[in-house]
Amino acid sequence: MKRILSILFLATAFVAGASAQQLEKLFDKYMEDERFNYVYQKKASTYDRLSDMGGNVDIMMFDRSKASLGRQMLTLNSADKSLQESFTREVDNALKADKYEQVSIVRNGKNRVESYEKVTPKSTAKVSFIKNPGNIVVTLNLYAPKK
Amino acid sequence: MNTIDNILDNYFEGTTLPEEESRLKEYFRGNAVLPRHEIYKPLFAAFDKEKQIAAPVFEIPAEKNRKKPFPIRKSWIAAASIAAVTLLLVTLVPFKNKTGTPSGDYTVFIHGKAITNPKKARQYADKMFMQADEIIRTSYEPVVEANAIQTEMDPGRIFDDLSREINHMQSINQ
Repeated sequence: MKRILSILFLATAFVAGASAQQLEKLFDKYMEDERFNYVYQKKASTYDRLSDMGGNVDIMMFDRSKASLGRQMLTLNSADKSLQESFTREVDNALKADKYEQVSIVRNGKNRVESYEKVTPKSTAKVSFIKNPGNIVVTLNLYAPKK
Repeated sequence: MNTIDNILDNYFEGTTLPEEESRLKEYFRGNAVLPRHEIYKPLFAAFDKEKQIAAPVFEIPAEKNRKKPFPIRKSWIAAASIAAVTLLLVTLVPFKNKTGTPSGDYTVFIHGKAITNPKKARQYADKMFMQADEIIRTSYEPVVEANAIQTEMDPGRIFDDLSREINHMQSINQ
């Protein structure tokens, strides 16, 4: 009986763990790391959300049909190249695991900005991933459809 | 009979072979026991009797305090309770305040240190979001410019503009 209960408990824990979003786990992992800066805003205002356009109204239209569920940002504060590479890889893997769709890539010299999106019936998640040398930033904006 | 004497001597010295012992037992069981050997007869008879004594059969009594099997219903209740508690934890954990501070709206960590002052946290947050927005905006600038050029060089639009101009000139001449 004990064995059955243990298996059941482990199975429940595994399902719960697997269902957690990898990208959000990454934010949680590094938020208190001294090599990073972390910001979380519970609910972005309409003005704050102008950044969703990426400064370009032609590319991304501001969507008023969605309510903000908050946004968070993680900035790497380290000149260590290997750390920059490993962190970039971790974010890329998390985006793949969470099945984000790549919306755009902008390369400007050595700078590179990628944007991703994941739409589910319950929420929309938008990610901007800045991969400029010496400036690695990930932002995650979450929205719920307005009723 | 010398042989029996020899075997007896060996027997009391503990050096007899199994077949010699069998022979002795056989001899004392029989009716041809010599008078000088009669004293040993009860001894070997006793050995024979002892052989017939069977060890009492010892049955291991069934365990009286054997654990009762865990009832299926109880096991399901236990399993459901564990699942419910786990689900509750999983559901509640993501909604916890990220800093544990009462500020709520903003959570800021600079170099791993939590900014607990809500006003400062907001200032940091605004500054950092603005910096990220600026990077994104400047990155997209070439795309904006390219779009502007594309719109300007659109053949349909050029033809429309030209035809409008021609129409205007014709209307002036008439």
